[in-house]
Amino acid sequence: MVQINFGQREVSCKVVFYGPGMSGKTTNLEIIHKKAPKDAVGEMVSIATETDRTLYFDFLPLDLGQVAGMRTKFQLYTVPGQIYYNATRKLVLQGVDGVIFVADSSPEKMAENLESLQNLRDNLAEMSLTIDDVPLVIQYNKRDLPNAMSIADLNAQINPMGVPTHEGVAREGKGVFATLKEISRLVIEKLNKEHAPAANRRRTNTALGAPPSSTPPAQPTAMPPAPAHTPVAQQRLPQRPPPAPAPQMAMPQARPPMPAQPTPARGMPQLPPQGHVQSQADPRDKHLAKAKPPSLDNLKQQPPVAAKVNLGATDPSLKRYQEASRPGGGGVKTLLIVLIGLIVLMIMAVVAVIYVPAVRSLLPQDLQRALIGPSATEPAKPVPVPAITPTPASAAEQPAVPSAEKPAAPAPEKPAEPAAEKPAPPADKPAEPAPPAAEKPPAEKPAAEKPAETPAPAPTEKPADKPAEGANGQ
Amino acid sequence: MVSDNDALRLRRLVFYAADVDRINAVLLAFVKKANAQSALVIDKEGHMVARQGFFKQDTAALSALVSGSFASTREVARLLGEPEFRVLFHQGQGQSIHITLLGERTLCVTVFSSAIKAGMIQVLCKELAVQLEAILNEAAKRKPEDQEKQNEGLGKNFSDEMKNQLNALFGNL
Repeated sequence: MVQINFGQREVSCKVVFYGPGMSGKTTNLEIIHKKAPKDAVGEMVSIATETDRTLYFDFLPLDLGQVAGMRTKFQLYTVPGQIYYNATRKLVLQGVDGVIFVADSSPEKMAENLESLQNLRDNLAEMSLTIDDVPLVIQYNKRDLPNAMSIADLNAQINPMGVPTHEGVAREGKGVFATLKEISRLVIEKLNKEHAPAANRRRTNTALGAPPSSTPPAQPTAMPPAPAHTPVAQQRLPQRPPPAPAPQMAMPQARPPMPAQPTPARGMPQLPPQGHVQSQADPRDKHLAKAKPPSLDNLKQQPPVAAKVNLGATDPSLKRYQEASRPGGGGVKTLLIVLIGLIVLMIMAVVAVIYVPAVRSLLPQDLQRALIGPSATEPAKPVPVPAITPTPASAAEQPAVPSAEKPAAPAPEKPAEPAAEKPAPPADKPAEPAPPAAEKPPAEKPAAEKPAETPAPAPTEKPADKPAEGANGQ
Repeated sequence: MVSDNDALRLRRLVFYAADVDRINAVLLAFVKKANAQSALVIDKEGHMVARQGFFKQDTAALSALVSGSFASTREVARLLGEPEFRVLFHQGQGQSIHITLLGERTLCVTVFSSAIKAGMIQVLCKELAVQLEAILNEAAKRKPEDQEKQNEGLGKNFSDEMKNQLNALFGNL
C-alpha cells in the first residue's frame, strides 16, 4: 500500500519480488544493492537460514530522491520461494504496491513457476485483490541456461495476462534494472492516477466502480480472475467486523478509514521539521535536500509546540519515580546536600565548643569536662601529682593545687606555641584563671627549686623547660 | 456494501502535514518525558510515518523489520485465540524496544536504553497510544469533502519527473 506522507513530503511504495525457490529473487536484490548508486540504496537486510535461503524476507530500501517535491522511496522485499513458507509470503505481501515475478527459464522449473504464480493469485485473493489490481512485471531469469525455454513458450504459459516482461541473467546483473524501472513506472503511474490533484481526482473517483487498477496498456481486458474479484471483495468486506478473529491475513477490512484527500498544513500547530531533533539524518539526504518543499520552510519558522503538549496528568508517584530513575536524579542529590550540611554544622559546633570559651561556658560543668577534659586532663595529670607530693613542703599552697588544674587546661593546649606567648593567653582570658596564673610562677618556682629535694622527675621536666626557654629568649 | 470512496480509502494510507505535525509534537514530548532514545510511528507495511529522537540505525530497515516482527507474532496470537498482540517488548543488554499497536493500521515503536525501567516506558507508552490514537481517529473521521477543498495531490508531472529520475539513476545500468 502506497503511503503518502504530506508531513514528511514522502511517498513510500512497496515492491515484492515473487517467484519459485531458487529462481533468483534474492540475487536480483543483491545486484541492485551492489550496482545502484550508493546514495540511492540503503542497508540490505536479510532474514535467511544458515544456508542463505530466505527464511522470512530480504529487504532493501531504495531512495529515488525528490520527485515533484516529494521524496520517493521504494521498499524492495523478496519472499521465500519454498512452498512451505506460504505463511511468511502472505505476511510480506501485505500492502504490496507492485510485484516482480521472477520466473526460471529452465523447462524443468515450469511447473514450479506456474505453481508460484497460482500461489500469488491465491494470496492476493485473500487480501481481496486480483493479479490485475497490482502492477506486475515478469522477469524471465537465467536466460544464459543452455536449455532455456524460448520467450514465446514462456509467455504462452506464464504470461497470458500480457504484462510487461524482461529477460534477465540476474547473476550478471542483466535485466535487473530494466525490470526495476518498469515496475517503478507502473507503480507511480497507478499512484498518480489515484492521487492526482482535485480536478483529476473527482474523475478518478467516479471511475472507481471496481477498486482502482492501473493495468498497463498491454493487459488484455478480459481476464479469468478479474470478474470474480469485485464480488469477492464486496462480499467479504461487510462480513468482517474489525475485531473478528478471521483466519485471513487480509489487511484492508479491519483498518479504520483514512482521509482520502491530501491537505496542506495550514493553521495547525507545527513543529520544526525532523532535522530539529533527528540529529542523525540519512547520509542520502545530502543530495536529496537540495530542493526543500516550501511547506517545510514554513514549518521551521513556527515555534515548537512540543512544550505545550501535555502527555496527560501522570500521578505524582510516577513523577517521583521518573525523577529518581534518571541518572543523578533529584532525590539522591538533595540527600547528599543535606548530609554534607549536617556534617559541616556538627564540625562547626564542636570547634565552637572547644575554641570559644563563651560558648563553652554555656555548657554545664560536667559536660565541659566531658568534652574538653580528656585532652586537658592528660597532660595536666602530672601537675597534681607533684603538687600532692610536695604538699608537706608547702602546705599553705595547697589550695593552689586544685586551682592549678584549671589554668593547666589551656596551658597544655598550646605547648607547641612559642613559650613567650604562653603566659599571656591565660592572663587575657576571663578573670578566673588569672589569679592562679599569677600564682603559678611561685608554684613552679618551688618545683624548680626543689628538684634536688624531691626525686619526682615528671613535674620537673616541664617547668624546668619553660624557664629555660624563657631564659634563652631573654 | 463498501462505497467507492471507502474502497479507495482502504487501499491507501495518506498522512497530512497537519496530522503529522501533531504526531511529531506528541512524540517529541514523549521522548523527552520518558528519556527514550527515539520514538517512531510506522504503518503495518513498514513505512515510516513520523519519528523523533536520536537514531543510530537506518530507520527504513528498522521500520520494515519491526513491522515484519509484529506481523509474524500475529499467527502466534491467533494460536492463543487473540486477534493480535497489542504490545511487544524486546529487551537487550544496552537497548530495548517497545512496540504498541495504534488502532488497526499503525504501530508506535520506542527505542530506549535498558537502564530505563521497562515498566515506566510501558506506562508512558499507554498514555502516548491514547493520544496518538485520538489524532489518527480524528484524521480518519474527517470528511473527505473537507480535504478535497485543500487537495494538493501529487502534481500532474509527478509521473514524468519520476521517469526522468529513474533514467538518471539507473539509465546506464
